[in-house]
Amino acid sequence: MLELHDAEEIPVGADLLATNAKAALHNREHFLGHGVYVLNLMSGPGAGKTTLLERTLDALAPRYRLAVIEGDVQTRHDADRIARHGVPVHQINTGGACHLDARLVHQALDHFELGALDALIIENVGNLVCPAEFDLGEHDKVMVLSVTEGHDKPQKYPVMFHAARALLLNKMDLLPHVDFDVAYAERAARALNLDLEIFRVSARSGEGLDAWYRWLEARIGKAQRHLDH
Amino acid sequence: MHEASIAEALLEQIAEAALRHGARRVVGARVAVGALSAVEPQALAFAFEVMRAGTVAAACELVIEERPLVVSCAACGHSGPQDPREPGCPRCQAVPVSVVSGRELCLVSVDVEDDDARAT
Repeated sequence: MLELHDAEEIPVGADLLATNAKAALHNREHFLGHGVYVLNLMSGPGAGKTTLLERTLDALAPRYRLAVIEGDVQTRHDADRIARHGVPVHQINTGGACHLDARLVHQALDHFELGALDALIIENVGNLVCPAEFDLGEHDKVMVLSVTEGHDKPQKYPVMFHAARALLLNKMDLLPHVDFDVAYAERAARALNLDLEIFRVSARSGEGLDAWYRWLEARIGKAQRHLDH
Repeated sequence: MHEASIAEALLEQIAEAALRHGARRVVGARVAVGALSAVEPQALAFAFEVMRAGTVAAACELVIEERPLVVSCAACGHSGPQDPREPGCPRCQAVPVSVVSGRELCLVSVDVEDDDARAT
């Protein structure tokens, strides 16, 4: 006689981000092996990541060997802007995906000689939700939030604020024109992330950027000292 | 929007589990999605339904367990659920609090069956 077997429940307990985590670990081994500091720059669309990056490259390029990976859904606009600053750049187009993942970054690494770099900056796809979930193997996640976006963003998008090591409050030059409560935003962000470094800046006017450069230089220096030991 | 990537990873994990247990079909899968995981359950269910065709999970029913945020407060000792949009302790308002659960994003279990009816 024929009998259909009942389904059997099997416990699994597998992290759904494990595949990406494995690829990120592989990237991290590359970065640590070459003593290159890697920063994952994240924000919503239009917060000013690329302008900030252009300023930062001009300030640090005389003393550090820098390179950039640009992530966008489509176009090379950002890579073209970065290339004008004389820095090696590779554009990743995700073709619809809302974030970079570790595998995409790994493929992009073929375009650089990591041993000849001090720091690699990855500009993630503009999005306040998804990029935070995908470890790229970077040393630090840094977030940009502009004052035109609203001070309740840390509460609305807690995952990203929780993951970041530093937060740049950008477009401070526009503060008189918007209802952005700086203290509220900072308190909400620190409630999620006690050790978060916060910089009030304007990538357009240059206000506040020196403190950000000094922090970044210290982070690059720390990554390189690890290589020496 | 990254639920498609998550659904892809889910299908990979289901296929692996099926392979490990020599199962031909996976008819059910239980997934835990924490309130802080940045995954929208409905979007995940939709992506899964579209992407499962032609895989070992083609007829798999997905059960999504939403896990609430649970925090514990070092200041007052309170431990309990909290609204993910609210920072701090729900009792004494102290910040920060530590997250006890709510970050989960995992495949908890699968229901497998052999494809063939067996003679007994």
